[in-house]
Amino acid sequence: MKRILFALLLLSSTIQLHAQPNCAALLFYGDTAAYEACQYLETALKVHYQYEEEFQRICDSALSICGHFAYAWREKSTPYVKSGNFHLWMKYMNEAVRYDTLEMLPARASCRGKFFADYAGAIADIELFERKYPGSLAMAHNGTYSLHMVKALSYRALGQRNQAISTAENYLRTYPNNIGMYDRLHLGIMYFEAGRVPEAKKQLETQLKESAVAEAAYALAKIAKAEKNDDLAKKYIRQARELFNAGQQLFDPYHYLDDQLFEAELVEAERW
Amino acid sequence: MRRLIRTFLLILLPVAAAAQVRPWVEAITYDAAIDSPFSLGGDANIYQYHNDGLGVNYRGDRPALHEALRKATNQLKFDSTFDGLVRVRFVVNKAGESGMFRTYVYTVSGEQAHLPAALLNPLTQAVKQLNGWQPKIIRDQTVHYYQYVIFRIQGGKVSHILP
Repeated sequence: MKRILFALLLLSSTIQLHAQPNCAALLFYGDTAAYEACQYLETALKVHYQYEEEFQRICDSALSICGHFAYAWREKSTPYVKSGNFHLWMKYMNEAVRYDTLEMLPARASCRGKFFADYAGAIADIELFERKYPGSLAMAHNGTYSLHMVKALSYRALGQRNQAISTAENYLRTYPNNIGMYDRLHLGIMYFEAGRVPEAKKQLETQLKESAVAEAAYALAKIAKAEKNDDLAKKYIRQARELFNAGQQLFDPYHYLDDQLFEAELVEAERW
Repeated sequence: MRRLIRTFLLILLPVAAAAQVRPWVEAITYDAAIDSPFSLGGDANIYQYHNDGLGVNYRGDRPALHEALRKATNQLKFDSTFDGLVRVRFVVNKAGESGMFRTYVYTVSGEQAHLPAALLNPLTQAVKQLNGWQPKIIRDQTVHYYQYVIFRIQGGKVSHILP
């Protein structure tokens, strides 16, 4: 019985964490070696989880068919980014970037900061991307932020607040139709930290209107409290609590996020 | 949003469950020579911290976790030329106890590196003394899981802590 259950589990485990490569496109571009490696990988990986040693061996086999198949290098790197092995993640991800810079460099850039606190490395990668592909709009590995916002948040993590603010401002101005789900929240909080209160309010109020998260209400409550407007502060805290309890908050399955609000902070604010 | 992500991640759970019976990369096995007594209670299956899709699970969340780690490490003085990171990886068992700690050092360019034991031991110790890790539940079963802490070291001190 256990074996049958296990076999069923294996059959159901076909979903990978990031998008499959388009093998047919490789053939279209005339890269038959990469096409063969892709076909092989697509079939073989379906029944293996990224952390399995077998998963690594399958990637190696695909790479012996085609050593420049960047997707296989990235797949090899994935369990290591999640388990914090900076050495092996970099080793394999560097190969992925080498063979498909346009596709893989944004992921290396954003993972460097988020998983390893290598913010200077993230900025260097993003600047490399900007030089190689001027005018391209690329997203972070999980699609939450544009590379511009990753750069802004990296500057902030390094304590370069003004640079962070101008990078974020520049992005919002240049791409008004591509503003990310939490971009205004981060910019608003950075304005507040810099003492630029009217601009902070404007961003946070817009964030609350367009994509309500507990963190925006909480930040507005802090501003109201600093301005000694206790009634307004209380109103925002109530709103933050409602959003928080409804799960309308920053969340990530791997790490705590910049500006994420936690229960203890909310409880403290409710005592104001 | 959080619920949406959770639902999506729950769909991924069978992937994690299936892998338990086969050898995994980055596995830690109990070594009586270096490990303090630590009980897995006869269940050798150890999941990853992200397999439940619910994020880091520490009592008091980031504020409590970082405060405890900062307090234990803010006196440490590193060689100011060292630019890199230290990862302490370990297992949280079903009782929320942590054990089987392994410590790794990397330079910022991704090379494996070394730091003097006088600096490395306090970092490992800082992680060992944490007492807020919560057990994780996957498909109604409490499970053991791997977790890690990363200390980013630059400018002669711990500059950032993850998660």
